[in-house]
Amino acid sequence: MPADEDDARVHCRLDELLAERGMTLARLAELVGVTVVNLSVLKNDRARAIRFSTLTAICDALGCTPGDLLVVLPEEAAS
Amino acid sequence: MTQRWLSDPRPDFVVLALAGGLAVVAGIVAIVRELARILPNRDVPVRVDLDGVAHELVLNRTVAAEATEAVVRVSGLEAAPFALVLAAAVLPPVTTLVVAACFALLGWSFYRGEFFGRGNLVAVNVAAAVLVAASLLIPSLQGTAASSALASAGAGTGQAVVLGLDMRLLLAGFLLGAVGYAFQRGSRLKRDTEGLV
Repeated sequence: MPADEDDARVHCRLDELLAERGMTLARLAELVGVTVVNLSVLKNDRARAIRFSTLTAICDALGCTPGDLLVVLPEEAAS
Repeated sequence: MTQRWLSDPRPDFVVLALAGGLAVVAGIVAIVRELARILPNRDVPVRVDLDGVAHELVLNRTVAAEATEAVVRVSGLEAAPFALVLAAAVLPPVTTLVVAACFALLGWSFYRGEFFGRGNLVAVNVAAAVLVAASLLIPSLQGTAASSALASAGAGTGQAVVLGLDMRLLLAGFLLGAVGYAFQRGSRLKRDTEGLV
């Protein structure tokens, strides 16, 4: 399977992590230094790549690990 | 205000698009003019190099000059020399037209904020390929057409095919080819960074 098609199987759990912490996207954007638009792209699984610096900043702000933030969905779930 | 106007590249893109558009119109006019001069096959002007032959002229009875090329007028050319003369005359304006159209397209795309689109890449590569081809075809066709027209008029040099190379067109083509490669890399970079957060 081409790498591009695998992008669709990576799910970002930003919504759930924000809800657990009672934090808004705007507040996270302030803490991380990334625009709300870009965080929204990430939250809605429309991102195709993430910088290590963004990932590190989000994990620091939410107190989580990359594995908590990003999960790979099974092939059936993605299709 | 002035500084902002100077730093805004969009007027440059408009100028590029307009200059390209004007050059396209000029190219079409030149093609029509050449066709009108040659198609009747009467007194067709053929430019001939006078290399290796001394042709001294006296201008104003005092100034000495030397002619390096002449325009020979021939009528009733046969099919093959006529086609060569026609192609040699039409090819330069056609080259100008195609390259100018590519530049006009690029200027318009840049103005709309599209830099690394597929259309721009094709435009740059087409302009580069046309310039490289023209660098060989234009001088070769002109030389061969002149030789053929002279032979048809009974003053042939005995050289059926003349090969030539226009270094300026060739270098311009290579330069645009390098720009095309940069566009290709830019396009790849853009694709790689789409959706990057």
